[in-house]
Amino acid sequence: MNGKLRLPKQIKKILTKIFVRPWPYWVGGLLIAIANIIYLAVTNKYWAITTGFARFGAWLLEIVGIEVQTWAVWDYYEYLRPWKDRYTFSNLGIIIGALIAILLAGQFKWKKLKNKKQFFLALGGGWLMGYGARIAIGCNIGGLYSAISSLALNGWLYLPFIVLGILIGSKLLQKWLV
Amino acid sequence: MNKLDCIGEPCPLPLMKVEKKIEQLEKGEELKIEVDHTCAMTNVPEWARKRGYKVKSEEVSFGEWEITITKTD
Repeated sequence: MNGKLRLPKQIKKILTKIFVRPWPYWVGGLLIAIANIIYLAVTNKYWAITTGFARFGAWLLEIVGIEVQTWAVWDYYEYLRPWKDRYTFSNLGIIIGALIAILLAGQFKWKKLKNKKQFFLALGGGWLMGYGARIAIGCNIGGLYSAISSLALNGWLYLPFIVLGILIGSKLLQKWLV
Repeated sequence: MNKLDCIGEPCPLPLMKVEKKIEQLEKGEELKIEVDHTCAMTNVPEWARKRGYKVKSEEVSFGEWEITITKTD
């Protein structure tokens, strides 16, 4: 025995296909759609990501004594502390789910930063994504995916502009990073 | 030896770098790419095979792979 679990070849092949290899896009799409229907049915709210980030950030500012409750942004959505916000838990669910998936694939690994440039690019890119998402009152999940799936027109307006952003972003990537 | 060090680089950078680098190679030349992103392990060989290039890959250490592409045609 070499300490590893010995499985028949056929079963090993199937397990690899399920847990290690990427699934086809249509399977992923179908599963997200089903999960979305369950989310909406259970919580009565549409799925979003960065609304939770905005509330979390505001809560951090509240701790250091800034009066965030009076901000005009809460006209668009309610201010909730993170532990009362469903999005905190669905975001944690995404992180924990991703962790489980990579552990099942046996590919979990800490990754180092390549260089300083990567560090600043990641920081800058993250800031731009977060700022852009909140200025638009929604990222590609709350503003695009959930909007379109609940038959709201703003999602369709979001679509051409996010595609435009991706096009410009890819060109910049090609020019500066490749 | 043509080599691309893409360790620590997230997708789609490895593939974009390979696309650019392979343009500069002569027919029959080899390109070695080091990657540590699992998605690069999927999309780089997939792209190369689609263009009819010869592809070999091996895991050199846990989570790090070396892909060798031979440019044909």
